[in-house]
Amino acid sequence: MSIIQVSNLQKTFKVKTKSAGLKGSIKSMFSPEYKEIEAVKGISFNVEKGEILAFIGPNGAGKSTTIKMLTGILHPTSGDLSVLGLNPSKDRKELSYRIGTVFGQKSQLWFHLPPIDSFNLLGRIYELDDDYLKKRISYLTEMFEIGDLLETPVRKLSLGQRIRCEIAASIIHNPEIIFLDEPTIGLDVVVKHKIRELIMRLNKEEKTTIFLTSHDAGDIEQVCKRVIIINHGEVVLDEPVKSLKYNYLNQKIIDLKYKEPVEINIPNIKVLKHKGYAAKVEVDSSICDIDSVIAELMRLGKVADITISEPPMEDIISYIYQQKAKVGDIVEENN
Amino acid sequence: MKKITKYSYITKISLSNNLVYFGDFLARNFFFVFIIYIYMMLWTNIYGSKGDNIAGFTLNQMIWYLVVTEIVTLSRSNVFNEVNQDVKNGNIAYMLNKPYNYILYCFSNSLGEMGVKLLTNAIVGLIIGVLCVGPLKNFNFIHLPFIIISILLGIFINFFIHISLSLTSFWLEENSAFFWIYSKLVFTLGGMLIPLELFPEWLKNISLNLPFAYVTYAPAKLAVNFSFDRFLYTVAFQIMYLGIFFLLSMGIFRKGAKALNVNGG
Repeated sequence: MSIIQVSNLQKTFKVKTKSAGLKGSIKSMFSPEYKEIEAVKGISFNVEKGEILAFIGPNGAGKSTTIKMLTGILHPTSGDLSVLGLNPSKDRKELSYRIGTVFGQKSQLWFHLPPIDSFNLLGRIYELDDDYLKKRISYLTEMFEIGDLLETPVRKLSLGQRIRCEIAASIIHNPEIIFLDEPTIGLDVVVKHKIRELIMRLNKEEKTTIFLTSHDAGDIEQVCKRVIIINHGEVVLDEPVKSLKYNYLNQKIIDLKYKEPVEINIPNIKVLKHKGYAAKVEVDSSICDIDSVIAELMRLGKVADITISEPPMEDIISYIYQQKAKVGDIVEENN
Repeated sequence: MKKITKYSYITKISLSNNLVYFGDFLARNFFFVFIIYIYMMLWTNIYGSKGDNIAGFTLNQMIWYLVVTEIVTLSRSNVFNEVNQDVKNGNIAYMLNKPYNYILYCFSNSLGEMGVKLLTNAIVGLIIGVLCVGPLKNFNFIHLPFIIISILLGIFINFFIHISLSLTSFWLEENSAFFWIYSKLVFTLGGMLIPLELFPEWLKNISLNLPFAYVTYAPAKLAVNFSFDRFLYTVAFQIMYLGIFFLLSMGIFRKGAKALNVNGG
């Protein structure tokens, strides 16, 4: 059964516009003009229980707006929405007992107090039993390795320490779904890795459904099973992370080291780098055969070393953003 | 039961969060000392030329009256700025998806701040009052709990008016003018500058029915001129205005949450 069902979800904002300069400011004082911005243009998708889903898109694509509608903070302009069988905008309070949210750039911990106080407070807010709360805090303390941070005022914690406490705080009530909005933003590699591990462990141990937005390709590649990409308020892709690479990029990168200087002159391949003995080329397997390209490359000279790799996830995602943007433009032009 | 204890726990946490500022609050009371000192010079002069009793106030009562009005307004929480900030930087998103009533959350949260401020203001106020004009004449300690009730009600009305005004930030980009206008209305029609008895009759009658008087004037007047009749009358009015502004803030919030447009993506 899908625990999140979204169909034709739409959100339009009314934004006051003002033309440039003082004249524009005066004009907008007397006759304000409004522009309608369609942040989300009728998106549909389902999320199954226990899934780890990446919900990504470039800045301003409508990700956060969608999360805020799913958690009941924003009211959709139109469309149907069901989270855990509830309607978020009507049953916001009821839903809040069963979901958790982490907004990477905001804090829900009390700035001057140690995290343990915030945990206890949130426990009361979610109406947890004292015994359960105690057990839960010690479980999360062990899991997030925050034992020695519990008594330090939040303002004295580093960003990485704080975000671990933030996530622990947002799952104190053992929610069925957690929405993580850019949880790894601004973190160093080690902490990022740690957070990813924690998210996966949470999904495994507590069967928590994870709904994650991020700009970090590593988050998606290492954590998520399925990815939904949205751009300009529309779903442009919804498929398993694994098939992303197969379906979306036929390009392979071939790194070669020759024992002698060579000239590369093979049709249909793109030379990325070529300096004396070494070469880096890109091959599109949809236009030419990989094995014949390799054979031809081998024929050019004696090969000392060869590696064939796929372009990094980051490139795939940026490729999809650009491709879809182009398609979108064409559709708009035709209209 | 748990639904109520969550709010008292919020107050407890905010109390400990605000105790961090106890020293700051005390230091900030320099302003309090200063303004009472100015009032003291002003009224000593006025009483010097007008006699011992002006509009039913002796100099001693007048200064204690002004001390109480200052205690009430200086004990306001920072809720106006906090709610504005929450809306402007989008932190409101974290506040909205929690299982509590946002208005009651803000109130419980502010109780800690208002409590700590009231305590520091009361300490400083008592010291200044005694130093300037000596203890309040005809003061009976039995009346103290009743006066405190009225002072607290004044602080609470002030809170709900502030939060009602700040919630307009759901629609308006800049709403600090409301705060400014309101604080000037309390300053004048609330009797912080001069007691309402010194107003012309018509203005006094209007002011006595407006909410501003029940923030500052009414509890201060009760403190210097206590009677149980006055207490009942004052508290009845205060509770009425508290109810009105409580409901108003809830209504504004309910409407605002629907129109909400969270900033910062």
